[in-house]
Amino acid sequence: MARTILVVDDSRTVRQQVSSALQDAGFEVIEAADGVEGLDQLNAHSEVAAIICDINMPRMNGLELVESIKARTATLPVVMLTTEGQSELIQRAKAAGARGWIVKPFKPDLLVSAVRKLTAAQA
Amino acid sequence: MNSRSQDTIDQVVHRSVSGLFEAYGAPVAPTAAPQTTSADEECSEMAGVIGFCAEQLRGTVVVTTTEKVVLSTLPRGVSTPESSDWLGELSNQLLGRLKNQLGDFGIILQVSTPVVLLGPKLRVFGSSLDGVRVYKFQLAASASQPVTVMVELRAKDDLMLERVANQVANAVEGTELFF
Repeated sequence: MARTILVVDDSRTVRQQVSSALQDAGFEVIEAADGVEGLDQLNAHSEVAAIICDINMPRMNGLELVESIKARTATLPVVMLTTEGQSELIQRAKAAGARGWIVKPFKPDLLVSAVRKLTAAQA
Repeated sequence: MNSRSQDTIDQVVHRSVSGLFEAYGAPVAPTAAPQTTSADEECSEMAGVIGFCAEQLRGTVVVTTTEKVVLSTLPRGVSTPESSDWLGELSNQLLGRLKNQLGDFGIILQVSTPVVLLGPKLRVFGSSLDGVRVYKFQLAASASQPVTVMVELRAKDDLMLERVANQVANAVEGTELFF
């Protein structure tokens, strides 16, 4: 059965790009436009196996989302996909429970490979 | 801000704009030296606007261009292109590059979310504003397709950009880290 990945990004174009790469690789994808929608999607879809998450978003940013998720489901892998590269932010995400960090622009095959690895380790 | 610091900002902007468009398969080339105003009559259809602030400075980045340019940079896999959304993301990624490079100088930028303006005759305009710098580019493949970046920067008078020694390196574009 296909694993479900939640893609959280306020850019519809980026969500389509990420979703397309993951769907081509056989994953199911659900989307959210910010952290608040991301939490709603998690509540509605207990089958989510991993999250790809932007940082700078309205309402609830990606770091706040990761911190919130960690309090509820510590084992759910989250990969940050962002324009940010500053080491302080990376350390903060790591401390909050993120499992990976990718700086945009990204290579779709590397993203897919990372998601495969994280979801396989979880299975 | 002294002239050496301004030169550094100019280099960072040029590197960031060139690197961003190159990464999306639409290389651009500068068409003029950085200016303090946009003196010509060139008009664009779209503008991505995004604000930033740090302890030492604050300002705005505005990217004006045509829809044709924006669509030429769309990544693969986008089934329903939405040029205004993508220009906002491009502006965000441009500021991300600026942020990552300025971090080497101890400047920690906080960044807003982007806003996109649409109109038939948009022009960047800076003649009456202090701290404005206009950088003009065009698509390498088409001289009639402009990309103009305006950086409005208000810095403390005594700001001097110096590379910070012994700093942990920032992750650059395309980097993948797993913990």
